[in-house]
Amino acid sequence: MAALTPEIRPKRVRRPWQQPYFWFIIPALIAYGILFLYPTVRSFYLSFFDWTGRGPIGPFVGFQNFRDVFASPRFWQAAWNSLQLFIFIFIFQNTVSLGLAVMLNRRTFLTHIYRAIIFLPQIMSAVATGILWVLMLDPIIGVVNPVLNDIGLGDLQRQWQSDPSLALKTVMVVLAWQWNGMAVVLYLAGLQNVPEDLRHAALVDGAKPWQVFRDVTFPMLAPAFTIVTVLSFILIFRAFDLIYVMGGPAGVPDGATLVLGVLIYSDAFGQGSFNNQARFSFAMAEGVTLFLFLAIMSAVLISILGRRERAIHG
Amino acid sequence: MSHDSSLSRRRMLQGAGGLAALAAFGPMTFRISPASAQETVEVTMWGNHPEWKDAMEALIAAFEAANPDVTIDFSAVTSDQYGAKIQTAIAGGQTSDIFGEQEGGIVVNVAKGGDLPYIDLAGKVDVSQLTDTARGQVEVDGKVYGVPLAAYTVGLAINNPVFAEAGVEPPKTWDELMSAAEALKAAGVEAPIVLGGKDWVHPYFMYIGLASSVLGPEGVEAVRKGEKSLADPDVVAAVQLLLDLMPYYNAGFEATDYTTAKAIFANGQGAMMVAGTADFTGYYQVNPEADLSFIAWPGPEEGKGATTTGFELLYTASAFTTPEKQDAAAKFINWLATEEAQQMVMDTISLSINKNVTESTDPIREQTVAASAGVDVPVWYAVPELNGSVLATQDNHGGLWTGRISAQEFSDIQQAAVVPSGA
Repeated sequence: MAALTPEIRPKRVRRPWQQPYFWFIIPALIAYGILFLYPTVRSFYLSFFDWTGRGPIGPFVGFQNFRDVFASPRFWQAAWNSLQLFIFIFIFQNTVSLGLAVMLNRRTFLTHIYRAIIFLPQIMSAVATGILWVLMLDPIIGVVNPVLNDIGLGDLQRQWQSDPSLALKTVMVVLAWQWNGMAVVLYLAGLQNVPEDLRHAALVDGAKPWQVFRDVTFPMLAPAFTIVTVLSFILIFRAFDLIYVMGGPAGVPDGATLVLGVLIYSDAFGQGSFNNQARFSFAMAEGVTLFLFLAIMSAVLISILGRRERAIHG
Repeated sequence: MSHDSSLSRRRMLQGAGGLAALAAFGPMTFRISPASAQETVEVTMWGNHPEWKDAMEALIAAFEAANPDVTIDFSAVTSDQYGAKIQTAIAGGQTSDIFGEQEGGIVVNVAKGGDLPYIDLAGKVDVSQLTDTARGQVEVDGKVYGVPLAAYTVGLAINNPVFAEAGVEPPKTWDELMSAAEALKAAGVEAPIVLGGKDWVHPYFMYIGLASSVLGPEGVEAVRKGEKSLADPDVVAAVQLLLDLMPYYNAGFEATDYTTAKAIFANGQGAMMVAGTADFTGYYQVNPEADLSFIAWPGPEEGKGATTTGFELLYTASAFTTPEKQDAAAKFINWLATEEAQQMVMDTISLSINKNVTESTDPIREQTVAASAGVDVPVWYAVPELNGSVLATQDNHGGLWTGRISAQEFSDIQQAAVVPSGA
């Protein structure tokens, strides 16, 4: 009887480092630690000191840098500009980009060409894109104003980058143009996962195309909506390169295009040559504040949008 | 199969052993080579102003010809990127062997104390022939930390054909500046005054140039001592002049970057532009046919025109490199102070910092020397008491153009940034 009963051995529990995959992820973990965790922790540490970024680290000042950040009008101006950018991009991506994705979801012989054209700005260098737009919009050597004039829209000629009421709007449009491709691709991927049966069933039941989109297609795009929204939120609040090229380190004119990414850079490294006035620890405090804000808000967004997804998909 | 696998592992182990042996012997090989490397030590060098590439290469070639035991690998980035690059490199202890400290940086860093990113070169670098102001930039408490590449003087660049076509003479007073701008505009010149307001540099130099024409060297000294205020009406008038000239700046000047402003001026779409000695190289790169000249900032009255003078990068030997490379770096820095080197600087880059080199084959530099022989003051950011003027301008010049702050308020902010000596 005993010989017939198989011996039951307790299953050996493998520790993480005994798992084969562990050794494969070690290089990535080391890189992550060196390139992300260490700089992040170090930023937290430096934000409690008074340091210009050169020479010995200055005295410990506690939360003084954070108090200075919250008392700084430039910080709030940059935060407000970043928020306006996000709102504009959010609306743009959920109207224009989504609309383009719906159109591109219909297969025609030019679909692939349209997709490539729309995605092209996304893969272009942001710096090169910024320089091109700066040159095109320049009132003296640019082409935008002369073209407007030549096609009979001379009244629309503006100083796009130096008019305080227009400068941020100009940046918004350029940014939306550049990031449109990302939203289109994400929504397109989402649209291709919407079962055709559902749409057909709704049409058979007498729903109009707009009702089908509103009540069937768009709810089924909830996962794509979550990704687009959270990605846009993080990318916009960290945005730097293109906006820096267009608005410069001070966010011209008079801070109208100053966003948080540019503010942190210009405070950390000064605004150019000639005996820079860098405020590194202050910039670290700005960076830490932004990091905490993005972490908390991203968690909130993911939680809210995740609940929405579960409610739709069950 | 198992046998093959075992062999394979063995080979792998042998291979790893071989690599380890190579690694172990590597340093030996490296140690052997210095015998031949003593013939030539290669040092790296970072600088700014990529537009000086040809002139810097010629300078380095002349040094290498005289010192065949040292070769220099030079690279440059634009001035606005250089500050961030050097700051990051110093913080990480990874600078080039020879690098340029920014003007005023040596004095400020030595005063702060702590470990310096450069070494004392006293005994290796002779600064006795430097001008007093140049020497003051690199010599502190008997220790010598480097040599400035060059000096520069900032005033007003004139596009001669544009003035000639409009029948206008270059201005010497504020009134003439205003009437010249009006006449040029009336003659159809797109930008009587070219201003790149995207960063703080151009507005800053216009402000300190015009304010210095009011103050003169004595007035600047009085501001440093706290005996004179930048918020006094006569100095505020200089800021008001900046505002009054707004209709004559290039369209969209608030968002025009430094490079575009240079192109507008050099291509003849502008008549006048704030310019340092070094800027002319860039103008001629944009338009080799450009016919330009240099004048001092017009003054509130005749004879009070002023220039401001400062220094290009202060080249130093890195504290982070090997003693052998530090010695090679010291050789170059010492050579940079010589008449031979500074004559090349004077002819192709900017103004000499050697007091014996005063003539140039370049007419612009001759005009600059003549202009600075009048009222000339140090650039304000190189003066410890006035160093805060940079930050005050960075954060507030945009407010002037948009009307957020008045000339008086801008001046109040500038005065608040002054730290009078003895305060």
